[in-house]
Amino acid sequence: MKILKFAMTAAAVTLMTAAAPVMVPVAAHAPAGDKDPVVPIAIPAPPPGKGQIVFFRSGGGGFAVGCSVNEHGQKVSSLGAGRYFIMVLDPGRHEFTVKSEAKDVLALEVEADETQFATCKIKMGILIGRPDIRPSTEAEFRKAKNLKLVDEDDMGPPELGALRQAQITAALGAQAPATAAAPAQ
Amino acid sequence: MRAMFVLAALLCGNFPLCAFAQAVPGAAVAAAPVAESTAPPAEAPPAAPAADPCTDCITIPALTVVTVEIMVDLGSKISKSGDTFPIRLAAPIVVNGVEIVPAGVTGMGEVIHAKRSGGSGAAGELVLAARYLEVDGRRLRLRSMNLSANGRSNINTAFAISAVGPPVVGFLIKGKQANVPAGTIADAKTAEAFSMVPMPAATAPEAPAAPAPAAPPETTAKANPQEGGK
Repeated sequence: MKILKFAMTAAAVTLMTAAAPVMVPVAAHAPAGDKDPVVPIAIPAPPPGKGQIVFFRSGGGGFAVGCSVNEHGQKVSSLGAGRYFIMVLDPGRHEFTVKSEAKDVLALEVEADETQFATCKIKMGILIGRPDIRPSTEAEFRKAKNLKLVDEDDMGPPELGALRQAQITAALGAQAPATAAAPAQ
Repeated sequence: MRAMFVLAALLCGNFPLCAFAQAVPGAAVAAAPVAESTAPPAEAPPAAPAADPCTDCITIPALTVVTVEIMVDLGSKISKSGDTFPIRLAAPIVVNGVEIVPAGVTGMGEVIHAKRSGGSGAAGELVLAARYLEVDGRRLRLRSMNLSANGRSNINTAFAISAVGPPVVGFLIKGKQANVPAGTIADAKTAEAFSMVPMPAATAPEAPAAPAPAAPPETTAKANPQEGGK
């Protein structure tokens, strides 16, 4: 009896995550209404001598499953559906893991003064979805709709590099005069 | 009492050894705290740039874009993280209209990350980096090779199939492998300023001399990683 109950729960959870992409297009066809024009997300340049990675996750399948990005076993930030965060790092090879019922690893070479992109998708799992982290591009990041910065509460310790909204605003503010002063090319 | 004296003498004799071991770069020795305090700083101060006696030398500035060619087939299925692979300079490095390094010099790249495609539609992944070119008997360090290949993801397909059929079918859907065939062209950058005499085989400037400080040819055909089969 217990086994039957467990199997039914598992099937229900799998169907819930599986049905998500089917439901999403329906929602996408809803009338747009009077929405504000979408402002592209501003990504500040990394601090001098540092590199950065923008992790993002577009909406879609397995929205109920978290995708927590870790480095050296410590949580850098959670990454819910439709969210992004910016991680500032020292140049060199870095290895990130995401974990649920299975672990996935991504290694990237961070270069000084450069920004890279990585994305998380949720693929099917036995009981719950499994996060799949992979390298991405700025084009893919820009294509993702309605991304929002991860809430501060969902980020790991600040020393691990995930930028808070205040830090991003400050960095953008500091860079704006320099950009304006730079000669147009 | 005598035994204690011998022990103390042995310990004292060990400290200088520990300090020496710390000084050796890369030596992973757990040293006593006393030894650490006497050891030289782990990071030596960067050597001051020596006056270059070479009068005919031309400097390739740091971050000069170079075009390299991958010499072997690489793929998320056949490559492993940490593998190295040969690369070749696909277009000469030109500074102030003078060809400094001819096309054809070889070097090395490294596979940073390789992951096979998997079940549930997960695509193969491949992240590559250019490490150096062998120029004039020295290594010209490279960085910023923008070449990461992803196979096609079939995660959404797997979800969709599972939604209308038995969930187990979704697990059987595989993503595509990421392949970078031999001959793929990619851009990288020089990681440091590099002074050298233009290589003899290629001192003649090409075509109309461009006054740009570092003029890589406009053959910036971006890497065109291909999706492969399973």
